[in-house]
Amino acid sequence: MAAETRTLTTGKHNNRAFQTVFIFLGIIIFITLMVLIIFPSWTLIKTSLTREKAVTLNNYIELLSQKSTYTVLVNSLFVSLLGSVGATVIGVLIAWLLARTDVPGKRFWQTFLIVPYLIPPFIGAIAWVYLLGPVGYLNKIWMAISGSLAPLFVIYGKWGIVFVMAIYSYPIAYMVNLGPFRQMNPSLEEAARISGASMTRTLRDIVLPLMAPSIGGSFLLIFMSMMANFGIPAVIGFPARYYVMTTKIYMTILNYDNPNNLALSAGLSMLLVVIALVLMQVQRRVQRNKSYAIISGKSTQPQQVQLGKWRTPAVVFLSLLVFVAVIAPLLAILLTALMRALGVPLTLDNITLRNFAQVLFELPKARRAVINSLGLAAGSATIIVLVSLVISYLIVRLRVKGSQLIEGIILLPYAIPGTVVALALILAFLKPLPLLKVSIYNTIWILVVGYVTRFLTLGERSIKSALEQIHVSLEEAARISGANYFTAFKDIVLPLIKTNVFAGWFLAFIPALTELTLSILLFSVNNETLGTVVYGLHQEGKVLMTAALAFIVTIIVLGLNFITNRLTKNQMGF
Amino acid sequence: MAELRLVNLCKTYGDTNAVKDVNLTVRDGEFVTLLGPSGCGKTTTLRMIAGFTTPTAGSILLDEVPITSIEQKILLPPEKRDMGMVFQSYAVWPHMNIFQNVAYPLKFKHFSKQEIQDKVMNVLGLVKLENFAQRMPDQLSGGQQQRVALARALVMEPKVLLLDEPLSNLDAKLRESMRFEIVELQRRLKITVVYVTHDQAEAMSMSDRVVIMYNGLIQQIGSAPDVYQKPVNAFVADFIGMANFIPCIIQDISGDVARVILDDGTENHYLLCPITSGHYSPGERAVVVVRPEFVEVIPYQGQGGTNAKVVRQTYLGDKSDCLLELGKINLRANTQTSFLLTPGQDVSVSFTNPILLDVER
Repeated sequence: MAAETRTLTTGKHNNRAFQTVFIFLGIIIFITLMVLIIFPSWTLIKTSLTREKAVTLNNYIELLSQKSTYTVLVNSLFVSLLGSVGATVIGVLIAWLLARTDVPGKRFWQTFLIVPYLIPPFIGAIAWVYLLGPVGYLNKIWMAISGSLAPLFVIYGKWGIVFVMAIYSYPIAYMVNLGPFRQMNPSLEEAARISGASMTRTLRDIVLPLMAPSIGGSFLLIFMSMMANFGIPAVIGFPARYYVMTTKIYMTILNYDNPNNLALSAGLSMLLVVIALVLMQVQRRVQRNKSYAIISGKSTQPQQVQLGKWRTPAVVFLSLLVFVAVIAPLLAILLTALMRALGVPLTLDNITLRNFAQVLFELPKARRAVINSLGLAAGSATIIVLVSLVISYLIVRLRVKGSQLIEGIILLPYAIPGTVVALALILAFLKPLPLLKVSIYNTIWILVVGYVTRFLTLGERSIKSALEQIHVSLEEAARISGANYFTAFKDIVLPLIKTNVFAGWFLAFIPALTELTLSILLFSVNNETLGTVVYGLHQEGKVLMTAALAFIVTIIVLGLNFITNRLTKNQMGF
Repeated sequence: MAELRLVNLCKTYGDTNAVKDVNLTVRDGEFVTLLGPSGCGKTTTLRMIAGFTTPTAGSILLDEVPITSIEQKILLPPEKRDMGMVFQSYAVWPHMNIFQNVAYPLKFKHFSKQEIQDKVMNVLGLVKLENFAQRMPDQLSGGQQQRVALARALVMEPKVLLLDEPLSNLDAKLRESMRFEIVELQRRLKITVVYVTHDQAEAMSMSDRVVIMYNGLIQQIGSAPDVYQKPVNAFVADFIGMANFIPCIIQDISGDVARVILDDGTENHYLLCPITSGHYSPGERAVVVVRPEFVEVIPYQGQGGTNAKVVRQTYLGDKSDCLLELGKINLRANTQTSFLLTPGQDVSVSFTNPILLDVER
């Protein structure tokens, strides 16, 4: 309605044309999203309800009568629950230490404790295999020191999954809770102290209840991401034959011996989708309930909790965490990548760069993977940014009815587990498209579709929030100065949201570069990606080359984050 | 019932002295206000009393028992000090209802359920909130939240009540009525109070004694009339109320009275000033402080008197604010609204209650 009024008052043809162009683009995007998101979703549901071309509940009946279905469901819930409890406890503790206490070296911890968040989880899992596998470094050191013939702890299995998940997810809890901890009025705690409560009592009675919505929200966020994770249970679980929902779906899809494999995996996927969507609703409600976490009030100076005798334990804890979560895994990958041969003693003679050379120049699929992943990530990110610009402008400025619907649709592929998204795409595009008579299955295009739909919401959120920050009067000032819609958009809006457009591009580019979950199901020969090749080399037991490629990927990711951070002046990236 | 004593209290942050050598005794049942501009050290002092900030040196004694003593390595944590505190931001816990908020300090005192119920309802009655016990804080106005904070600070009958700019977040009307409510409660409960504010009207109207602080130092301690009528230095004179500062030179001294010549460029304006503090000798430079209400403006009396020129007169309703030129000096005077002056007009002025102060301070 607001848009109509504006057009009437200015009455210029090019303004109407400008809107028409946007609305036309919006319609195209909407139709495309229907084909790429809604159609696969519908196909997934249909497949789960179909057997021998007849509508039936037999797939579900078969799944629910198998013990293995319950086993993997319980396994998924078990590792996700324990993993997220661990991650939340660690993350909240760090957030509190860094936001509210006088722990020394805050800047150092802030930089390094975030690193696990940036490393692709499956690479983290591989690193921990190098450390705590049957012949992992830590186990070998233990055997050498203790003289024991048995390793200290073999990571394969449920406890390993819980451990690695916690290590790579605690930064989420840390980041979510840091702000609320900082914004909490210190007088609330001081009022409890002067009322007679000790420091620990104050934490229990005041701080934790006030933080409950934020802590609960982060817990659910982590729980959801763990339920959906494929890389960690694949790397750590398969060797111990320990399966969770995502890896079970993956195996069912690849089980070509069973004629009903796709229908059954669709049924399993629907179970996982229901859980994911319920969790998302709960999470949204918990976070919306935030009302009192941030109570305003002019506080004289944010008084920091004096740790006193707890200072040393706190520093030890943080140092240990940096070692366990950052230094040890990265060192393990680097050392393995530099090794001349597997199992040779660690001496200067045995250090070589040959593995890097080999993986980059002698292994065609690795070289293809580098090119493919860079191209795929860059292409997807660019499409995402362009589409996001249109969607955001439709929602924020033109307020076209129904444009919010697009927002809901693009959230879907991000909210449901990647394995399910991949299955839905396979089911939808296995056969040639009805009208166009082309098949994108087994081509690089299905990866483009997967990446764009999955990461679209990341770019859209970044650009939309930037657009919302720009008051409409800035555009109106340009209009009254003589600019039309096109010029105002070009001269005022675009320059102001430039940073967020870059940020949105990188936010989509980085996860796309190292994507594994979708890619492992959608890739084909000649269309390998970095994720699939690293994972494949690892499964083939090519340890040295895996390590070399994993190290290169890690360095690229950390470097890109650094660039993002500089470009956005510390707003995004780390 | 308690006497609070601060002895040589110091607090330094890096190179800056936030509080320098503060000595103060707050008598049993006394209402003492720490007053000063922001950054003067008043809040730091209060937080040291509460135990939230550790002093760099000095000690704090409650009924002659040290609760903070850097020299003796004593530092009682806030929860062991038996004090109540009202915070600037109210700090009413948003996840507890009013009753729970006020009852919280009693949790640590081993009271029966019935005793807690009685005590909380009693103190809620004192702050006129007995009907709000089951409400949540976000259902209360700012003034009501402030009363909850007050009730919570009073419920355990603390030895000392600390208030940190408790009224500064309230609107002007409410602020004034809360002033009297707090004072009335304090008189009724005969409780020892340390109150921090930057608002001089608040300090003057509420306190038994005002402690004026600046740059971490206590400038003057005294009753409201004391600090207004007998400021010990230019800062206090300037901070409390309006003041004209007129440089002068001591001519001669007889007894407690100094005869000074005003250094306004005319060299013929003389004044007699009582000496209340400090030592002066003839020929020395000093400053005469005169409040605008003590500058009397009368129609021009001819040569010989103290003559000035009108710059402008501003109507303020209850009085007029008059800007005069006394030689090369600007002078503010309050006149009756019926006494109309025109810019450029010559007038004669006379000063009552002049205060003689050192130049340096």
